Amino acid sequence: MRKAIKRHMGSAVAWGALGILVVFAVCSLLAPVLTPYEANAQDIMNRLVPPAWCAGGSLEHLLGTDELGRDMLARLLYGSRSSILVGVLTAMLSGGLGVTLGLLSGYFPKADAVIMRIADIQLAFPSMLLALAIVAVLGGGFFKLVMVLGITGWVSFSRVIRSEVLSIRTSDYILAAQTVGVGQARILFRHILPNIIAPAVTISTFQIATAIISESSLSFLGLGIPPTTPTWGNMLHAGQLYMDSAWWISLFPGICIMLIVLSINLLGDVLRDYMDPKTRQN
Amino acid sequence: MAKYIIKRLFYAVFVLFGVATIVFFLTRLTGDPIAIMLPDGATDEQVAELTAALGLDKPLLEQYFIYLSDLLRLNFGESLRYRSPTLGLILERLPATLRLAGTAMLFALLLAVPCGILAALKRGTAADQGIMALVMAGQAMPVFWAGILMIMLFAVQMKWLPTGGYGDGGLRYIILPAIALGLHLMALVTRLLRSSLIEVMGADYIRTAKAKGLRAKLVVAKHALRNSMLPVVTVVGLQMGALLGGSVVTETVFAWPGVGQLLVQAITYRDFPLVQACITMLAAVFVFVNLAVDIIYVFVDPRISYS
Repeated sequence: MRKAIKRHMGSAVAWGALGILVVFAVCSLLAPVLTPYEANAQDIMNRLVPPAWCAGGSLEHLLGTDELGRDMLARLLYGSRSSILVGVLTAMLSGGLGVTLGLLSGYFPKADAVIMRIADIQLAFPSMLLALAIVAVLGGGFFKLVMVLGITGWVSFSRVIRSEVLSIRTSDYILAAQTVGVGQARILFRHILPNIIAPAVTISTFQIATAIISESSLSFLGLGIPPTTPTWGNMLHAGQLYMDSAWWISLFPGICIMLIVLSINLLGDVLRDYMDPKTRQN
Repeated sequence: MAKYIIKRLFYAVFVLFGVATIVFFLTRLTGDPIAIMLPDGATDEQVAELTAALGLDKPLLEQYFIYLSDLLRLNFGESLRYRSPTLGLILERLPATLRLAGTAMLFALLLAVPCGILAALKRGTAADQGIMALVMAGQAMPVFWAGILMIMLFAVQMKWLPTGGYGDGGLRYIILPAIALGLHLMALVTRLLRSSLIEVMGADYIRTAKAKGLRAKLVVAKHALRNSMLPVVTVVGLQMGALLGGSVVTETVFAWPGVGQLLVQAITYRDFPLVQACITMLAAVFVFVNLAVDIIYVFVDPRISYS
């Protein structure tokens, strides 16, 4: 990772993206220090206060308040926790699932037939639709959402990992290992797995970005994380009713989502370029 | 080629069967769907009545076969909320969804193709960088937020276009939702076409075409573009699924009366038969779009053999 970024030293964009991600991470960790307000503390007397720089705004609420008088900045800071956590946990879950199934699929032809047919069927569901179907049955909530998004995301991992394994499987060092009688599990996890970590990491970054967008979309529909937990999607869901009178409720959470997704995508591109031997040679 | 198409058709049927199976078992995952469908405090008689009406008192395997045979006869069950066949409800709204998705795709392609070509031919210039910056932003923007921003700007502030709804079905009503829905695809296709065109422009046959004195415009239009469109066709087909998924959110933002909005309402009202039918139908549309893409591929790329 450090090398990858070093190579792009000239690229201010990559550094900017990394900087934004660090800022988001720090803000989510230090939310209680950075704001005196509780994310859910209501103040009906101060509802729909505009941001400080607008007429009627006050420095007490830098980014204004929402329809229940809750401080926007505090909710954005605490909301970043849910978004980042959903993204990372989802990528870990779908990555774990996808890499394992991809390994099995690439190494054992019999498993391949079954796993890839399941993948085909799952791909017949637009991922948002599959997520909606599962949410409809299981209901919303933080961990259920991570599970749902994790399950819908495994295919993108397993397809790539499978094709990598297919090409590695016939290489000389694997044949050599097989010849001297190394067990299959050992070959899979000691000899093949380390060689597919790079593409898996690259897909993970994009998966985090996708999960953040999916979480916010489901929460926006009122089907994701319950409204008591501040998330960017929930804030946008609530802001919908006040689009004509309180634009800030709909603007700031969206900017946060866009910035974090943009940064993750940019870093993902850098990682992909670095890890792809074809582009690395140039 | 006919053989290939028949093979793909069979495969589509297999996938549809898989989709139906997943939907069936998914909706039984809860263990007790009746408890979810009925409000709290429902009497035992109500529970028994609904259980029998939905056939949930039969063994699971029997339920599954009844479900499959119903599907084959296009009987998707009755909506709990509307008290009418779900298929009718969906077919009533499917044209609106397809119109929205189609317009979104049209918008995306009309903008992406010239942008992609421009960015590739002017690689490294300010135009290229500007287009790519917009593209990255477009890809990072959630569909619903793009919709909200456009409503705030063009409907609430400037009052140029309506905030939502189907209205009289006129163009004014579809512009904002189609742009919001198509934005992501537009970004994706621009990026893909740019990189694909850059790769093709370096190929030997392009150099040959240039060397024999062909005009630059003709080289791009007749030689390069056609070959760089292949990955675009694939992605556009695959992205139809994302469009259908995105239409769920877009239709909710813009109060567009399509299947997506129906689905979200059905989930909110715990109308399980309707949820099941909406998801199966949308997946079926996606499967058939992909089938169509596979067939179009035969015509776009004569190199691939389909025996």
